[in-house]
Amino acid sequence: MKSLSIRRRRNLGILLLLSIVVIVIDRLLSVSLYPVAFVSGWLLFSLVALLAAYNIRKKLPFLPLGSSSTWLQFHIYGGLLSGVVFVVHIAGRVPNGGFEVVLSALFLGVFFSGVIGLLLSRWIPPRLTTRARDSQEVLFERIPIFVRRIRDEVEAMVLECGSQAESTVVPAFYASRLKSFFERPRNFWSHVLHLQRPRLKLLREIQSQEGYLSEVEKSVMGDMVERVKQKDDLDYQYALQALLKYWLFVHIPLTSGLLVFVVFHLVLVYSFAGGIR
Amino acid sequence: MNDPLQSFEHKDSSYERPDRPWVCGHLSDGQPCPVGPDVRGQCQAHHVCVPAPQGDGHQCVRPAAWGGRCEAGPLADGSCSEQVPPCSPVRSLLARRKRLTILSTALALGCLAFLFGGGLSQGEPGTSQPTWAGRLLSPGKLTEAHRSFRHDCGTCHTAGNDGIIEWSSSALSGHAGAQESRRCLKCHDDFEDKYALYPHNLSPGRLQAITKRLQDTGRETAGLIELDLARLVANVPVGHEGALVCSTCHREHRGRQADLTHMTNLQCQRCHTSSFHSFSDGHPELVDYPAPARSGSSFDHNSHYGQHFVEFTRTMPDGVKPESCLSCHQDDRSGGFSVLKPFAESCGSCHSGQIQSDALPGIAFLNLPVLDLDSENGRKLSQAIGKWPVTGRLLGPDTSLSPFMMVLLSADAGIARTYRSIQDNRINLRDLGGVSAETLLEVERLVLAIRKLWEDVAEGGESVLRARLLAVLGEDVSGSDLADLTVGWSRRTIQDSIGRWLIEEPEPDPKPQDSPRPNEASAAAAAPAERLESGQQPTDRPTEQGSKRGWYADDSDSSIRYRPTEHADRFLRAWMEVAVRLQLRESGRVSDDGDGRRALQWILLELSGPFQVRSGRCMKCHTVGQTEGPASRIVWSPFSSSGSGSRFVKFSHRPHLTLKMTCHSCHPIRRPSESDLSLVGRETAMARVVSDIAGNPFGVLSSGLRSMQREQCATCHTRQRVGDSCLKCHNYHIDRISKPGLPHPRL
Repeated sequence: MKSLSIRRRRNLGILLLLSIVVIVIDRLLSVSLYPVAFVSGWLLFSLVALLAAYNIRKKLPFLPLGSSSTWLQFHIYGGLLSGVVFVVHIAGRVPNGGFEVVLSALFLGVFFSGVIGLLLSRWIPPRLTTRARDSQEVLFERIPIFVRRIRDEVEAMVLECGSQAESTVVPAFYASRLKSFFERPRNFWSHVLHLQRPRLKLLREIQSQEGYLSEVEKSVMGDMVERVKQKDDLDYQYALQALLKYWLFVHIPLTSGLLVFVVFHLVLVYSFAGGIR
Repeated sequence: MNDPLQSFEHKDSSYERPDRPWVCGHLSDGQPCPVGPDVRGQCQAHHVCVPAPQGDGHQCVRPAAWGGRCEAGPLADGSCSEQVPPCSPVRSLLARRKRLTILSTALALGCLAFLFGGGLSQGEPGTSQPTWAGRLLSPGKLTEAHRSFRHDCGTCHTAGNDGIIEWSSSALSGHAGAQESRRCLKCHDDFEDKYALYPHNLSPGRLQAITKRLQDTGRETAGLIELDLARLVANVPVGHEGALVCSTCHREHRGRQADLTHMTNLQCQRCHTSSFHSFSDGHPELVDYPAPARSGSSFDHNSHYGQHFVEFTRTMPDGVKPESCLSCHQDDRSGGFSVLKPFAESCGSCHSGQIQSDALPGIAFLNLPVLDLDSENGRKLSQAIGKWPVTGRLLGPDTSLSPFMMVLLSADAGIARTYRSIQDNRINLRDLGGVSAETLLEVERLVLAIRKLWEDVAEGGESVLRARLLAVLGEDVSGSDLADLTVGWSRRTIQDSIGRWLIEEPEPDPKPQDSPRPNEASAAAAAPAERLESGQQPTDRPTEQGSKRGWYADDSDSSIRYRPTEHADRFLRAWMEVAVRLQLRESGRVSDDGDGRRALQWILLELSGPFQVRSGRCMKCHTVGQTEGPASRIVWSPFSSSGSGSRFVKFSHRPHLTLKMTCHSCHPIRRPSESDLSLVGRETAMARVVSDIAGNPFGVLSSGLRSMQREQCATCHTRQRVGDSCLKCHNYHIDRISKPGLPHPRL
């Protein structure tokens, strides 16, 4: 953790330094009547292209292009630096041309989705680890299998209970209240927001049934409570891991659209710039 | 705690491959097959178990990772007894993200092609609405001044009439920015085209000269760190010979109210060799501001207020004493400058009489010198020269010829030498009694030359005058100069004068056609009369005898004189300009290159003497100013604000007069120094002219107003109060070409 903290401080320091350098050079170029938008524009384009190249790097692991960790660090801090360069590039103005508004919106979409992804990647793993102390970590792709397995186990218990206890309290409660819970991942946003209210509510409902249960049924219901907790933990894993995967559904497609618009922007700038380059 | 849901033992846990494009359709049910679909999305469930033939039957060979051998084993027909039902494979998360990415890219490309594939050109000529493409592509609204171009990008951009293909080609090949700037100059054409894109619209040579002059002053420069760093980081982007494109400073598409001319003080100082912190800290002191110490006209507020206006009724009985500054000054059309009112409203009441008063004699243009015709030599001379007027000036130098006539006589070099000899020998034409025969011959030659000049001029009129002037002045005068030098010449006046002064009264003769003419002058004199008798109209302007203005003959001294018709008389002005330009242009050195040119000095003397009792006297008020070229010029016009946009310094009275200030707040009358008082009275106009041309800018021609000091302006012009931007007081674009009736486009 100490090395991680040192690295983060170092990288943040470099980011801060580069940001200051960019702003100062922009100011100095402006004093020299240099077309600063061209300089900051090319810097921004280079950054965006390098950041986008991270996705390509992941697809070419056999090439000696540096470790993925290094690329990720560059992606994170380079992305943050691109935000600074973007503000410098637009000179702090709010774009008011139609195309420029779309271009800026695309960039901001990519930037902030990246920032959100960064925050998620920093925020979710510790939560998953914390929760996994009481349960276990699972692979995202296998969660449906485990959900099915739990559901099968619970249904088997309910059937057995129904035949042994000569009572329909447990099967009826399962059919009315628990069946939908075990069918698929539930309470997505509650898990994302770290709310345990649905879980506790369900457990309270189960507990409220105890007065009507025989000893056998109580035993079955006790096992069922454990399965409910296990399923809820799986739902928690699913919700958070899904977040870690689905933010890229915004970040990467927006990046591709951004690159297309950026190239067109370059063509336009060099066609209409009036010689300020 | 429950049993672990998953095992990571290699035997129990298959390797997850999230990079596969397809996953089993049963995964959502939690029962995926262990094989999974192939890369094309085909279900491979039938490959989970393929019983192998063994003997007569089949044997289960399902791999352990997929569940191992089943207990039931294959069916009799060899098929698996635990067949996995086939599924409809679904795309993996990665594949779905990739499809979304491709879709996003295609959507972006499609949008761009759809919107801008047709370029920005107007569909219908004259359409008042811009295309959607044009609206979308515009990086922002144009300023109010350029608003009318918002519908047609091609007005300002070469690429505005192109399409996406041409844009790509243009972007790759590049194009000259100067071409785009030329489009700006189609409307902003108030610059000399050759230097329109150069810094300050100055030629490189002129800019270099100004720069060197300022550098030679050795002024200290403040060390501005930001400026020094800026110089290290980049140079100002310039093109050939330092030319700048318009967009270097003027950035459009920044909104209706954007200031296209905004520049920071540091940006202004970036090109300058010396720098300073602010107007109040380090800016050069104001020198001779708002007017140079040496005034353009010989008008001293000090002497006029302190002396002339006091003695007003005695010296200028018709003059109107000014009540305030606004009696003589007025705001110009822009309201920014206070300029002198027209002559008639300002100086005219006092000085117009000195120009065109009938009481003052006109300027002698041609004259017949007084000759001694009574002595023996005089009688000999009289016989040789024919009739000569006996009336004439009794006082004054008897050899005096009109300087104008001297110029005309100088066309003949021999006559010029003769006249010089007569002068050098101090021959008195009124007393020829003791002169030698040789001298008498010289006098005769001179007098006959004068006579011939008169006859020629009477016969040929302006053409003869111009021919003689051309012979004397050579190529230094233009055709228009010659026209002005003889403007309004009255041939009739000289013809009448010749008839009176130089032609014998003919004896009554019944046969006048047989009487011999005494000389050619009689023929010349008769010519106009004959023309008049034949009904031919004279081409010359009639003599204004009645009004005593213009050309007239003065019988008292046998001269043809000219009295100015009005202020800014064209004839006198032309002679003054030529005389100043040609005669004294080289640092005031009196030229003796030729007698004709020397005579021009006398013309200056004739017209410049402020105390001579003669009409005209242009140089009483007007001065000779220095120009950048070799020639000097007479400052005929007072300060005009029409060209104020062409100067480096700009000023507008309007915002300043809203303050509680009077004219005297900024322009107090300066108390005269001892040296001023000692010089004012003694200076003659001629001496002043010589001094002016010699480049003495400080002479005594003070306006009498104290120059402004920087501290006066700096009390308000600070960053915190009303601002101290360079552009508040300075123009970047100078040397603008004025267009009558059209305001300068604001740049």
